[in-house]
Amino acid sequence: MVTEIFLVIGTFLVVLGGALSIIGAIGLLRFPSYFVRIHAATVSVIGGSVVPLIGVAFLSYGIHGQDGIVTSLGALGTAAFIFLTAPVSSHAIARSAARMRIPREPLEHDHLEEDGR
Amino acid sequence: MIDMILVFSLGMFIISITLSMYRMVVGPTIPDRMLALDVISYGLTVVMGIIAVISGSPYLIVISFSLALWFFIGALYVARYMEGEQIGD
Repeated sequence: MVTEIFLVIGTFLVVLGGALSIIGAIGLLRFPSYFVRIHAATVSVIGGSVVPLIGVAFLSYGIHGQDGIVTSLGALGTAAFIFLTAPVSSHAIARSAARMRIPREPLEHDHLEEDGR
Repeated sequence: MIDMILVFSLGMFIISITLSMYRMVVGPTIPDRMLALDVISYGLTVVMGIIAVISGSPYLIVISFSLALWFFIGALYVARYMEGEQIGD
C-alpha cells in the first residue's frame, strides 16, 4: 500500500519537473535580456531539478525497496544541496552582471544607478 | 509502465537541455552563457538520477551530487572573474 503511494507521488513529481524544465528552457530562449531570463532560469532550476530529484527519491524506494535506499538518500541530499546553492550562484552572477553594464532592454528605473554604486 | 513514463520524462529533460544549449552557444554576453550552463548542469543532474532509478545501481547518484557541487564552485569562480577580482583574497 505504501509502495503504490510512493510510486504515484514519485511519477507525478518527475513528470511535473520535466514540464517545468521545458517551460523554463522556452523562457530562456524567448526573453529579451539577461535580467529577465533569470526568472525563467529560476523556474527551470528549482522546479526542474529539486522537484524531480525528490520524485526520484520516492521512486527509487518504491521500485527497488531496501536496495534503492542509497539512491533515495543521495537524491534527497542532492535536492537539498541544489535548493540551498542555486540562488547563491545565480545572485553572484547577477551582481557581477549588473556591474558589467550589459544591455538591459525593458528597463524603467534603476535604483542602483541612482545610489551611485 | 513506470519505466515507460521515466523514459518519456527523460526525453523531456533532453529537449530542455537542447533548448538551453542553443542559448549557451548563441547568447550575446557571458552572463547569458553562464545562466544557460547552470540550467544544463542541473538538468544533467536529474538525468543521472533518473538513469540511476532505471538501472537500479546506486553509483550514478554519487556522481550527480559531485557534479552539482562542481558547477556551484564554477559559477562562483566565473562571477568573481567577471568582477575582476581574484578568488582567495
